[in-house]
Amino acid sequence: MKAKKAMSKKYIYSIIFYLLFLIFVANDAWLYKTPIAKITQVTEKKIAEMPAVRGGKEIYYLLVIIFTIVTMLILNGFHRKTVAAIFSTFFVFSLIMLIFFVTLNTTEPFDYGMMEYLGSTENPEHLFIAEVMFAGLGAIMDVAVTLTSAMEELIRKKPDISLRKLFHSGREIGYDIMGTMISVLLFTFAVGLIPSFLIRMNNDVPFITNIKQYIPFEISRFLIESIGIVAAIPISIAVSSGFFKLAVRRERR
Amino acid sequence: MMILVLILVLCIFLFFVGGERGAIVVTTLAGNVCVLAVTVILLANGMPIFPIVFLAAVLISYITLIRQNGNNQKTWSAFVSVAGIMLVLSIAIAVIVHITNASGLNEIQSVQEDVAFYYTLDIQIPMQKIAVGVVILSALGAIMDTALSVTSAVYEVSLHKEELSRKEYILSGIQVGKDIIGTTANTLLFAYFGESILLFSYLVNMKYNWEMILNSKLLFQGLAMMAAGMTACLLAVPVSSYIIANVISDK
Repeated sequence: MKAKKAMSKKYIYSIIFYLLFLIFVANDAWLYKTPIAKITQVTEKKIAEMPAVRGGKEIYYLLVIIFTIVTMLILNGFHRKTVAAIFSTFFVFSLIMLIFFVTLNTTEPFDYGMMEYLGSTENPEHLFIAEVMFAGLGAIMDVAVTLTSAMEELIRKKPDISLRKLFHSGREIGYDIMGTMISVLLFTFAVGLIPSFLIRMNNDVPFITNIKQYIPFEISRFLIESIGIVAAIPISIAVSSGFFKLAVRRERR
Repeated sequence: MMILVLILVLCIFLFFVGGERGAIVVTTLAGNVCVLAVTVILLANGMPIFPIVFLAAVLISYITLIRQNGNNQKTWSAFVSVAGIMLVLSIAIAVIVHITNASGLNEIQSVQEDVAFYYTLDIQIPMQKIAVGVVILSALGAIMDTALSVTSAVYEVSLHKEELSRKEYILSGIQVGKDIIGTTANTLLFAYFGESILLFSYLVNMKYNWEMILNSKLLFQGLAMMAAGMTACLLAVPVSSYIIANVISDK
């Protein structure tokens, strides 16, 4: 019972934290005046010269880093496996952002006029980038935590387990979670679109036009998230097995 | 164009990481998307809503659980528990939506340019029932995830220790469920709030005040979807551990 209470408390904390965070992101004019932003703005100018992040909102990266670390610490406590999970989340995150920016900059640009909830925002591309960044973070963290704690369990039960066996059983666990995780994301993204689809289709906008014109943002967000989930499996296995193996070796000496 | 590239990248990743299992995931995904598309088309043509949504839910859970993860005791008991939870949940959601009148498009969706100026909103579809269907289907993915994890964990336990009683199986299922609920809730939280970044920036730009936000339909819809999903996941733990325990000890 006690553990359950602590769990629900943790969730309330993380929800409050997330709400605060949303206010930060939404209010980024204010955010740019804080001292943290001053520091990042200096580094930002250097980063902005790299083609990959051209036009991106670099402050979001900082928020992602803070957010991942705080959520992981709140949910899992300060352990070795938490550190490993944080590192693998960052690796996966940078990989999918690389894929995202490369495809965004090499293919033809989107028509941001069709974005849902656009309203009076003057920089829709930044918001789209932010959305892509944060929507998949939870799923990636989920996979990373599951795999790293399984790896730690295996190494603790059998400290002399070979790397190949470790990889093998990690992959087995990964297979089991990846399919259902992707379908969780599919349903949360696709089903909310049904009402506006129905309105448009009853006003003689055909189904295919609906997909082509109105939801490319949602589709590409979903695809990026799924790539993140799949990529998280080998990356977190590699990171955590390396991490724990090194630790075991050091303890022996 | 970008979407095609991303699909290609996803498929390559799936084949590279998952091999044969990755190919199965791709086909499952395609099947689910097809079912959803057909559902939307049928609903738009004015077919009866509850039978269609129920059929879609059953088909989707059949594809995801049994096609994707093999035809065995684990997946069948997960399937049965998902169906049972859906039945209970849809009644509860229908009652809630009826009381709160929270159906259809929210404030922002209905002031989108094209919707507000060009389209007639007077269509022949009862939007209240659609809202129920939307909440049910959006919870479906999370329910399947939880149910399958619980049943397969209990099944693993039964392989290693055969002489446990029914009650002990149920307890071990609930123990596993406790661990899963945390991460599943986290995933749902991120997925729903990730969508709401645009929404929040819109609200800030539009100078909405707290009173309006708290009273708005859009906040209610978002929270209701999240609450329904999490409730369903919580329900899925005892129900699926009960079913799998019965199946195993009947053997």
